[in-house]
Amino acid sequence: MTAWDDSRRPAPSFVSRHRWAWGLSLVLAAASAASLMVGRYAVPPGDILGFFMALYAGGEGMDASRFQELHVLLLDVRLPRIVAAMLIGAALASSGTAFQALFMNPLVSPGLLGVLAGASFGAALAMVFFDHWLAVQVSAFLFGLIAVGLALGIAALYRANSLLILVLGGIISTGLFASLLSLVKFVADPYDQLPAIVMWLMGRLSNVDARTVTVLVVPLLAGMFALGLSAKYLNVLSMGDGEATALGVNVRRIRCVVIFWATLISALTVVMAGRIEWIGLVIPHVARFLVGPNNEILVPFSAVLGALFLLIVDNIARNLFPVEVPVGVVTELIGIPIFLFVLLKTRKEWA
Amino acid sequence: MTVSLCLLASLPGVEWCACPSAAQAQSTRIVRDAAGRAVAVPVPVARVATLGPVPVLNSFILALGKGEAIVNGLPLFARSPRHKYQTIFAPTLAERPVIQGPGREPDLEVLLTLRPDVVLTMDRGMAESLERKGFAVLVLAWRNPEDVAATMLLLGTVFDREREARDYLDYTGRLLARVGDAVADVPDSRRPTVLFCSLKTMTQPHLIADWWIRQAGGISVTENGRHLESVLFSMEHVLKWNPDILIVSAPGEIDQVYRDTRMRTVKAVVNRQVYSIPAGAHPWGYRTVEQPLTVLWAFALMHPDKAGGLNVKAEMKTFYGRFFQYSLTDAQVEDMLSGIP
Repeated sequence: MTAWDDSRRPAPSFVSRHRWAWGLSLVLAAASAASLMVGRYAVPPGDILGFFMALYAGGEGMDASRFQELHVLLLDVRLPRIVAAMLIGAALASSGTAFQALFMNPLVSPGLLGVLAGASFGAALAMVFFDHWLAVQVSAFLFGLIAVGLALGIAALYRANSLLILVLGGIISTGLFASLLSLVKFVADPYDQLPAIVMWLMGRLSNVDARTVTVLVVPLLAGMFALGLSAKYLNVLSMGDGEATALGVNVRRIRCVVIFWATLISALTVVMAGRIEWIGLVIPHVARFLVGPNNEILVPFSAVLGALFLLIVDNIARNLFPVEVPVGVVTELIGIPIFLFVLLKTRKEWA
Repeated sequence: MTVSLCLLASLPGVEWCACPSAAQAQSTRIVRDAAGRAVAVPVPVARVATLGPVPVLNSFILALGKGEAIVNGLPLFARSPRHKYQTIFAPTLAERPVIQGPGREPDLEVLLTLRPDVVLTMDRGMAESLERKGFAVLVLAWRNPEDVAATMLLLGTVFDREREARDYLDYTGRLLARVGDAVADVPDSRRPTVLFCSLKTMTQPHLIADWWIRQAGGISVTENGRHLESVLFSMEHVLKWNPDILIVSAPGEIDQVYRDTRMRTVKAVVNRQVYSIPAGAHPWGYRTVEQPLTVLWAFALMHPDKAGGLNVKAEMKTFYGRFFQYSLTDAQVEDMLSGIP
């Protein structure tokens, strides 16, 4: 039963409809507070509490050097990383959910139209030719958008409003930018630039700073909010283009809106932390398994679940091993068994 | 390659052959490379090709004063300011053809045209592949400081520069001993903690750095009995380690450190003790033939009060003049010490 069928019943309240997402948000809030307590730099919980009380009191009540030390650790290093992990997890999961609904295909991930391949190429290109962090971020973002623009352009060449042609355009664009990335890796200095590119492609949160998070938080939240608002239309699209059009939905416009925002926030995740795979594919499945296929509930729930997932994974990456491990690698190692488990549980539906 | 008569040489792992090879009617000698393979190389070796990590392979040859014997140019990735001293030490490198693609695969036709007497590589698979095509190939490898000495001895034999190779080892031994003596009585509490890193990758990229920091009388914050070549770390690690001295991999990263507010409480930043690793034929922080100078430079940085008669700049001129056969100018000394992008 879809949400469209449900619409003939009295509409549940906003809070009631999203009770799962709200509940999980409380867990997320608790997890983020706990994450602030753990790290390589051991600080007793009492000191952390004391720091925030001193912060509230304008720095009073704590030794100035200790206050400064904890300010750097908690607000400049740990907090931006925690916020970045949640934002990236939420962005990738919500864009993955939206893409799976839009393309009516559970194997779709945010990278379908080439945004991750394009952004990876853009970052690598800037690492080799500009060697400036801001240039790397801007280039990653622009080439992410260019790659999706290319996929849309290829689809437009056929003058067909077909999802299949769009997917084809995405495959071509992804292939092209993957090749260009290989080319950049070939010419990169193996002593210096190539390791930097490889690290970037593994996905990492170890160097996220407060400034980047501050700049990107608004567009990321705006994108996720826009996808949330589009969710009810995605429910209609799931009935097919003809039905949706008959119900007064502008199919083309909805597709453009969803693709635009999903692309934008996916590209911004690469800008922030490099390439982190699997979240956009796995989390929508887990979320669907838990709360069902209604996109109005699924999209926000996926976002919160994605945030929680990457937050936990990053805690593992930064605390569990003797050395820091790229978060993208840990995401894959943990995400794949979860994906297999969910597939096993839902195999009857897939058969 | 068939060899009929071999005489054992004084060096372990080296056998001499006074006979011509069947194929080339040229004297050959059998040497044992770092992979433990017995390889017949011509005598004398006048033409050598380097494949793979060309700059570091070249640096060994340059240190034996045989730069003119290198028949290939620098690959694309090494044609950058970072490796400019390669062509300063051996100007002929600028005109030599490139023999490997961006993926380090050899261009066999160019290699055949160059007719090298011996090819040097660090890739055993590539060595065996080239050997099947008729090239004499030596695999070189170094992970520990003593491996550098073994490589110098091997190449000294191959190039008939055994005296120079032993001179290099003597010099290195004496220099390390002088530094070792100077820091021997320094208690741990007075040894500075040091982080050598690349900010681009947020890694301590080379295990050898733990060794040269220790030799120079410091405590490497990444030395924890690890076997991993590189250590990935986060900003939180830097705060936890709180190093007295921070050595970055390029000069541009010094300013980056000072501007990064997350590092503003780190002792190295507070005390303005952030430096870029010097670079000559190769960056000094890596495994390189210039490693004795790395130790000396780091020692002077960490214990300026104990440097006494050890003068880094004067020693650099001696080192490059004696082994690379190149007289450094004062400007070049400063340039090397400032690090190269």
